[in-house]
Amino acid sequence: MGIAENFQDILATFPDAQLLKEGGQKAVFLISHPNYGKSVLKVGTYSRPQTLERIQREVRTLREIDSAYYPKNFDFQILPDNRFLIVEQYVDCIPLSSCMDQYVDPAKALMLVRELVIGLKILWEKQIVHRDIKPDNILIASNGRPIIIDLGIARLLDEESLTQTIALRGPATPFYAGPEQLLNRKASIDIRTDQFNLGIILLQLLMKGIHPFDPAIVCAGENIVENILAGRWYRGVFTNPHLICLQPLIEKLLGKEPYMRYRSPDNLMRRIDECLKEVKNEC
Amino acid sequence: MSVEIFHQLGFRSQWNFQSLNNDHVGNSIILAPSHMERNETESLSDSLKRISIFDPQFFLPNVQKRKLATYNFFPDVIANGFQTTEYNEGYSEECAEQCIAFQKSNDFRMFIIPTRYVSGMSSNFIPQQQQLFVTPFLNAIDRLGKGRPTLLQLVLNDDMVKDQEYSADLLNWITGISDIDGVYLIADINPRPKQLRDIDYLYAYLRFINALVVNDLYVLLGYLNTEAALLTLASPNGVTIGSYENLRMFNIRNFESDDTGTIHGPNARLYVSRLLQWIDTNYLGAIVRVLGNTDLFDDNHYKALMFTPSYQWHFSKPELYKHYFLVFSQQLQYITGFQGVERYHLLCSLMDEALHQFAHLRELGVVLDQDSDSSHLPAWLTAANLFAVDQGWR
Repeated sequence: MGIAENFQDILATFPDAQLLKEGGQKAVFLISHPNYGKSVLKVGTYSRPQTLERIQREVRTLREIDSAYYPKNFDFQILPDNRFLIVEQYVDCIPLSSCMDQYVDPAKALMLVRELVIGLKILWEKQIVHRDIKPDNILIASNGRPIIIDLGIARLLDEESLTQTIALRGPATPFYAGPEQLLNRKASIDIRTDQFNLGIILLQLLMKGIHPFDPAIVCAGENIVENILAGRWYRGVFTNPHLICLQPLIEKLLGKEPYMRYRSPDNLMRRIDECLKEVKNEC
Repeated sequence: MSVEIFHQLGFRSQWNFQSLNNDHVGNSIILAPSHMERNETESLSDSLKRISIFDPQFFLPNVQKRKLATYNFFPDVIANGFQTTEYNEGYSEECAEQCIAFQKSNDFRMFIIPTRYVSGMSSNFIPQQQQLFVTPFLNAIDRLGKGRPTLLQLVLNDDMVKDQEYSADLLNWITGISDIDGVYLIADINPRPKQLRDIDYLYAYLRFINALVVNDLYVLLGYLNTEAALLTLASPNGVTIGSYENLRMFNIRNFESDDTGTIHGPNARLYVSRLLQWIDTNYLGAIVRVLGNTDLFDDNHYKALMFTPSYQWHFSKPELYKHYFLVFSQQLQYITGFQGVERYHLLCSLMDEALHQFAHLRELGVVLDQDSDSSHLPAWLTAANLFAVDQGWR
């Protein structure tokens, strides 16, 4: 029995609901909402209060943000029996993880990262760190604009973290997490943590989807996490003369410590723009 | 860009003012409330205040010093007896508001966010500094209006800087404070030799400074002795010159209470730029005798005054320090006229030349004591070389 079975009462009000995705705790449907039109319905259950807090935090953040880089939140309800419901804007899009091969061209990859920085800057200015930027959480709309989703583990810097102190590893997707996330050094997690995630994505785009910390390509380490912690990634990509101008940018994004990355989003943006000019001149 | 030179005030401030006004040494002044009462500070000329910064000297916030007590925002005064929790809950915002208002109304060049002295490697260092000073002071600046750069003051001991994880946490914290424009760093080395010789520390401190500079922060290094020359390798924006040793070597004991006892009189020393060292004046006659002239010693009007038969060398004489201010600031300006790898090569050649000169003196029979000899220079050269490898200079 899937999670959707627990929501027959809700689904009954949306007879045309189409199941898009179903996981252990959450199901996503495409619905036609009487007030919001074509929308996304997310239903799920929670067992711990922290999970509910995270969901509430995501909703709160999305409601504060009025930006094309994030889906709009229309509704959120806490239901009986530890269940919840979210209605969000539907955007015609595909996840970046399904179309990475379209961004092998360095100018295209840089433009995408530039757009992501513009989107993330909205969070950063509110002192919010997304903390889980990865290709699955970036949707590419039909007009090419990236839409950032899953703010569930985003953390407000001056709000006490929900992460359990004893956790060995902070919440994040390990393959894209910065060393400070993997080591759960909470005091060191700030807006520059998202830069590390972006650095991996940028390299992965340039490397046709291959993860730059993958032991198979780095020829060292047991796994990606170990290589991230050791700062071992594939620099052979810069033997391509068209990519060499990107090395300083990527080296900085992938700095092992936040202080090694860009102190301000404006500096990062400036550097991306410089790289774009250089890449275009190369071409 | 050449480095800015700040006079570190504390004793005999008039020497620094005279050096600034008459010899045109230095760009700025760091005022010290522990040695200058509030009305004295406020009565300085507007032009002087505009180029000065005010170091609130909250190192020991519960200390009772007569001159510090004339500043009504000093933590022990404002809280009627400083206690961390009570201060944090009731007085930190008020203290910050008044201290920033004071810095603003006197039109000092920069705002300084003060720091509390912490020994060892406390795990509470960052949260406490943030809570007690950084947040309240940034709030106060926000309320009262910025209009000038803000520097965060920190006293860091050698363990804090040498421990990789601790220093990384510090750097992550400092560079993550978006509303500051720079850092006023003070090195706390205990026990402190006259010349720093700890290679690991010097190398770690160069890296630490460089990491801040790379993050576009203005870096001012306080309470420096002649290691300022070496530290210019990391391109700090400002370094200090000070007269007595307690202004060139930070020691928290100097802030513990009012001076009541007699001053221990050290030997008089003369700075010799070609040796990158202070030389006990007891050796000067011997050096002149074996060399046959005074050419080794830097030439200026103070030299002319000091190298006369009737001159009585004494540590409390102003000429020694005014000479140092002039000579060392010129040396620093010369060094920092070069950038990056060229500065490194220049410094190496200056150190090599100094070592050669020391060896020559030894050959001629001058056996210098350990506070006047060359024993710091191999350590400096090694630290410089390690840093140069990091920078891709060698």
